[in-house]
Amino acid sequence: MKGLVFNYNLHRLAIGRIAGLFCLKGYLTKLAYLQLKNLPYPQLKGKDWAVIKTKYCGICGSDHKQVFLDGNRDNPMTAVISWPQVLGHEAVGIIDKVGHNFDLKEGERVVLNPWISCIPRAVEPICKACNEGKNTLCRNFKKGILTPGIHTGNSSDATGGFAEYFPAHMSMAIPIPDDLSWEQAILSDPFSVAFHSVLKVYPLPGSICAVYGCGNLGLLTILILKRIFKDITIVAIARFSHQAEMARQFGADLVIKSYPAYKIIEKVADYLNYDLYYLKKKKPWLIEGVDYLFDTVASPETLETGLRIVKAGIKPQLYSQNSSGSIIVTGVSSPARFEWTPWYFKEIRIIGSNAFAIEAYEGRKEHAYFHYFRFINEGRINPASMITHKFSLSEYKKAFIAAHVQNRFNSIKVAFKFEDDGKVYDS
Amino acid sequence: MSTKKSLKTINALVFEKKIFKLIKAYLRGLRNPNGYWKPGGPVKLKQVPYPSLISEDWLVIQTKYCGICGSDMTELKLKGSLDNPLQTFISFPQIMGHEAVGVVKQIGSRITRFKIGERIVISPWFPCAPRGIEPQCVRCMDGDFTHCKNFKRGHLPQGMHLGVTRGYGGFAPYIAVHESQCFLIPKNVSFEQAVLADPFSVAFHSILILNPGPEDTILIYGLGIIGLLAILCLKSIFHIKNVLAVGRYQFQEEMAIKLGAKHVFMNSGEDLINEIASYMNLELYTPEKGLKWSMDGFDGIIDTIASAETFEIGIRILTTQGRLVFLGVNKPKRFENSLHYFKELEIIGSNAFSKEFFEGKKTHAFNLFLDFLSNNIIDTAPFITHKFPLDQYRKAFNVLSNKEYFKAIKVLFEFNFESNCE
Repeated sequence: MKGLVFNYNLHRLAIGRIAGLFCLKGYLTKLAYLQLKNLPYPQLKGKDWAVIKTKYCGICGSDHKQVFLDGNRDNPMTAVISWPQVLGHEAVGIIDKVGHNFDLKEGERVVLNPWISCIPRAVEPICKACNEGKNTLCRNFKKGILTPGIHTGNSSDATGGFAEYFPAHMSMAIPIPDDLSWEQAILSDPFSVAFHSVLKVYPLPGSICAVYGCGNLGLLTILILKRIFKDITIVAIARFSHQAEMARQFGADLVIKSYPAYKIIEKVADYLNYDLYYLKKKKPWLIEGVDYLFDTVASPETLETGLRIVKAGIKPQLYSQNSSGSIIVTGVSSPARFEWTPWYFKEIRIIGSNAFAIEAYEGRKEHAYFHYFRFINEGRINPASMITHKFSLSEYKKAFIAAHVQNRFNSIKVAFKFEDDGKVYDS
Repeated sequence: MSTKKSLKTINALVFEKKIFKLIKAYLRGLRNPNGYWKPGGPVKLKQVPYPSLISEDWLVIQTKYCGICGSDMTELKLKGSLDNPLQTFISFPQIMGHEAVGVVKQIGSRITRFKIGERIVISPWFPCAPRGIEPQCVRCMDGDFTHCKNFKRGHLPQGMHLGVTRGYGGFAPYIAVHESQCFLIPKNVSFEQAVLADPFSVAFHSILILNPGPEDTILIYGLGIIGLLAILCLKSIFHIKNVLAVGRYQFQEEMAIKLGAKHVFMNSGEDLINEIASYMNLELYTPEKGLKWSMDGFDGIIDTIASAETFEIGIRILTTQGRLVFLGVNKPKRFENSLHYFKELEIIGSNAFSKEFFEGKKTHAFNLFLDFLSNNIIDTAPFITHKFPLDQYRKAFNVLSNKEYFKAIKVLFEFNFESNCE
């Protein structure tokens, strides 16, 4: 099978880094770390495993960041991954081959649930986090039958969807309901990431929420706040005009351009009618502000600006889940210094949000994907218009550049599309 | 108010923001850690006017003690960063000091709650009420006066509290304060106990934000006065079983153990992580570069240092979905924060104190503190290690910049009641 392999060796990384100085395509030269190769058909790791024939695989922000070496070497996550990797975890496809105990049949449409915690790793007894349904916080990402890794794409054993086939444990292959299109199914993972982050604070009706960044996560967050939650005012901060356009379509009440940062602060103050304090001309801050900020970028700049536009923490009693004055971060950019004094002065709570798991909402406690399927089924959301580009795997250079340089391509979600083999499954 | 008195002057310790003096102190500080407060620098004893009652609900307090706070030392050592936005809420020149106790010397005509001669501990904040702003802002009405909207308005210069607001400070024999800032010291509570009201309330407030459960394992990071008071609170008031600490000096370790800490880790950096991992039996992961980390660890951390290093270590040894509360005014710097999101940690800043929600009702932290003292639930007098008269301020600062040698915890300025008014 054809697959895109990320080879982590210093020599190849150096070539990519140097070639990347000249143009973005340089990072992707065959002499560097990324190669399209013929790989063996994936092995079944056990009786409860299957091999899935990839139909589509979305490119996640973390994928194109890794491909363009936008990371830092002291990132602690390097301790729990293994190489070489076939990236791609937003995958959908058709079951191609099953082990004896696998509970689905060949030919069924499935979406990948990519986390490789205790159960896929065949670790027994399962850890306390997995036992509580929080498998992104699993204690055994380095143990069991798979090489270290947290989800499909960053363990050398759990190869990902940037290949024609990928392996999945029974718990990792979730059947796609018939009324869901492939395009809708691809967005199960990013939708769930955004949904999990909103459930971290459960905004009450009447809340004012800011969403920093209008890429996939930001747009999905807006959609959730508008369509799933009730009576929320949304301030969106977007970098590019095509993102701003979609943010408005998804229901943002105010869309602010992300640059220059001080203008964001001034516009929020103006919109909400609060006092601004200026240190120097370009460094204003607010004591009051939005109730919650969903920071989908979490760069030093967004953190610094975020701390200035979130209101000081309000504690009617003790902290509760929806205490306002909170920032929810769904990831990180490369760390650097930022001015964090308002963090303590305003007693702001910054909550980390990692992927998704079993989520409780509207009286149901189930995997985030099932909430997503239900919301689509009930006609409450349809984010499929976010998929702006599809490329074949052989066009991977174009695909990564389209995902990375979003303003030039007006891209939101870029996905790989795999050739049909004649059978008709498409809905 | 007699006009006679207002002509008098008093000797106060003043910090002036004059660029030449700041540069001089900075250069001296590079050579000698005690150089910042040498003559010719920004800090000096100066004759200032005897405080006047700016309205009839104000009082003049004759100072007995004023504690030296960590933030005073930060200011003296010019350690603040230039882009700190709180600079919008201060004004110069400052009479430093905000942890004062004393005796009522003079009262405005509208004062009914206090009498001359009564012993008072001062809450240093300058929100709506002392500023004469009516109606008060929503934050103040809610008891959340550290987030007052009016730090730049009203009849006081811009400033958050005593010590950082032009003309108002505790390193002086007399202090003018608003009635709402005064708390009567109960008869069975000494000045030496009461003078810790501010640092105690800071520690207490941070623990209310942490909100630990009785079975939780809590780490106190840093054993200065705030760290030690946090242990006191956790053990004597909240009855938390497992309280551990990270300290630097042996006398701090001894004090922490005496207060009920189970163990004190005395390392830093990689060694600290290893020591904690072996004590708590944690599985450590080793990244390609940088410090080791664990998915397990403490349920909560009170970080009294809040530097890049303590954040980096804290998030590595906090259990998933754990809570880290930080107080402190360290300079921001880069730290590797990936584990913040990955372990789904909550990091919350804690600022001073307010009306606190405790045992079902909202009470000013100082009232709670005085109650704890009066009912013998806590004793704060043992934290006071040094007292100096104001004119020996250099000695006092030297002691605080060499805490290990002097075994210093809380250093006070003491005022002699007979001879401080010219």
